[in-house]
Amino acid sequence: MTSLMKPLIGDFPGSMMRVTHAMTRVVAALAGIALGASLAVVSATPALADEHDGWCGGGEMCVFEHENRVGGRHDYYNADSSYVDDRLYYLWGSGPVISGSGVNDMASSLVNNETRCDAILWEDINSGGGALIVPYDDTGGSGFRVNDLRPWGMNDIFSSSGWLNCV
Amino acid sequence: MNTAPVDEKSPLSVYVDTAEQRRNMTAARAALVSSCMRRLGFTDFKTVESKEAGPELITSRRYLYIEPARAARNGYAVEPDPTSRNRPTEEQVRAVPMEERRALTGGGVTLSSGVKAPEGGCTREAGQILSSKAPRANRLLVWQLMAKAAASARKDAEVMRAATDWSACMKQGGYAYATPEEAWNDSRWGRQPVAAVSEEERKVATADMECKDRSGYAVRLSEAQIANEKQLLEQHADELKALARNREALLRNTEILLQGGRP
Repeated sequence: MTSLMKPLIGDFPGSMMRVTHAMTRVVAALAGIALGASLAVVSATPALADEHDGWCGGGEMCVFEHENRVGGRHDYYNADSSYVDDRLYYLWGSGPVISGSGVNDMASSLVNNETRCDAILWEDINSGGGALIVPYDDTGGSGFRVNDLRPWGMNDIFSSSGWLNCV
Repeated sequence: MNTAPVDEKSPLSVYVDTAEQRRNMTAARAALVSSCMRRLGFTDFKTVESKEAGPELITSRRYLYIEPARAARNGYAVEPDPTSRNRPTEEQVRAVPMEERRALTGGGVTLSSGVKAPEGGCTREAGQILSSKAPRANRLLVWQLMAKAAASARKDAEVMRAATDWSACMKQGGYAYATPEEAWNDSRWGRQPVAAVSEEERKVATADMECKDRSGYAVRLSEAQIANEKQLLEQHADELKALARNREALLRNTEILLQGGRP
């Protein structure tokens, strides 16, 4: 995917929603109170999408709950030194809906949608533990994808991420 | 007290670019992208590479270890990486005209100026030049193998014994953590920049590192990692040779480009 205007990956139907990170946490807390796996619909504003909104767009690194980029998801534009408070979004109705399930230690596949920086993910918060560098896609394709983290003992381990080698 | 330093490096570390190598490669790539964009008529296009080298990617943090003096100053927090400091904000990215985006990463289209952008855009063109004559290799392999080695290292009997000693040491200091991972990943830290780290985080991080020194946890973990990596190195010798040849070509091309030549 080459456009920087939120190219949508795969199966995201319908209109876009804009959710700030602060809103993410509030809604996540409410969802968490209800039930870990329950879903809470956030208010949708028809605007350009942001990071932490469940839309995996251009310039973002997205993590997915299951292999082959399905299940819950979360999108990062900026570095994040701790996934502990971040929540997974699920496709529901016309778009992604935040859940009470955490992102931390939950990623089984991912995509680097940035076209000018490599993504780096770490096993622990604050750049601790093992790491994985995911290069950017310099082929004009649809992002550099890692479809299955399981064979390498990297399943359900990532807790923070950032960018490096930007051009 | 076990004061042996943690061995940050390991057999697979030699396949990871140093900070200096990454800075040079990024500079060469940025110059190619910039030159391509100018050729297509985008004379104001700016690349965002850092003149500074970023942090090394292989550090003692892989063993959840920081020098105690640093932990006393910064807690567990990390300084931001300068190599991504100039990255545009999402708002700035959205403001980039579609023509410029196509030229940079889309390509294969004729721009309004009548010039045809290369297939895949200038980003792809730069990547192709930088990797000229570089044999194909799995760019993720070294990280995958390191992760595999680390997963086994954590189950090593010596490492597990040292982790138990570490936990007992922390308890003496008034901190109840079952494992080093629990202390490092405590939900109270992780969001604060270095300047805003709490006194409590600094105290815990210092006790954590001192207990790692006393128990030998990080040293045992690095020894187990090194032993496991040696085995994996033998098992994946052919793939790693291909990776080494790929890196050699990229570094050679980087050198040529930075001297004004063309690989």
